[in-house]
Amino acid sequence: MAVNMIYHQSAFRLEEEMKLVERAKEHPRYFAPLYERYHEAIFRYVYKRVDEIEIAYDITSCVFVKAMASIQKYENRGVPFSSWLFRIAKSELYQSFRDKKAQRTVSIDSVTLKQVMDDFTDDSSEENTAKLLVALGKLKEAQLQLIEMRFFEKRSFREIGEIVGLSENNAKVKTFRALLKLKELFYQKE
Amino acid sequence: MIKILLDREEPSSEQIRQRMDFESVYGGVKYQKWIMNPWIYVLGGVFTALICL
Repeated sequence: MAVNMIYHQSAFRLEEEMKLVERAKEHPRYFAPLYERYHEAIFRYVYKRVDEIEIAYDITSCVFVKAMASIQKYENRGVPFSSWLFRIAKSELYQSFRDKKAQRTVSIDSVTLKQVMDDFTDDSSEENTAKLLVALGKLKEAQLQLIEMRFFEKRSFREIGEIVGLSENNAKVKTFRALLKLKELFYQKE
Repeated sequence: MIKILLDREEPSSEQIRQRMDFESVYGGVKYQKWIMNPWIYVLGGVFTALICL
């Protein structure tokens, strides 16, 4: 699995990032280097989950306005700053789904989809692809989130746990259960 | 209802950078701070009262 460089940083880079966070606490203008570092990753995370690009831009802006307004509350507890931003993004996304401003969307590339399907069956025909997409749509939101982050976005269990508020082990167990559920839905007769 | 999109085209880094500049987000924060400042409402009230008098 490819290493997510935004998440897996060296100790030096994490220390440097904490200095940037402390500086951003002094004045919102000093948030700029953190914004430059993370706005694209947050945008892509949001964009994969909504159907309209303009909504994705709006939600991403809201994430950073919120982050800048509440950076005083951020405490370094060993969780990378990016995870804190992803948590804000997650909550902003669900708020817009609740307000019906955005349509919940899952964006997948066919190569990744085929990799997931290889776990289930050797036959990656169009019919099975369609079946898998239907099964994905039937998953509960919490399970879909885990499948999305682990298999489509290739995040580590530790990072997933930090974003959804679970321990690394719990994230691993729940992702495994979500995959089993997906398999069950895939083989379920309509 | 969930919408599933296969092989959706993503904007390039350059397109994202051009569309999302820091200044506009910073402007949003400044506006939010201004709106949350209770003094603008106090002074607004005083000003309105002065006009009415």
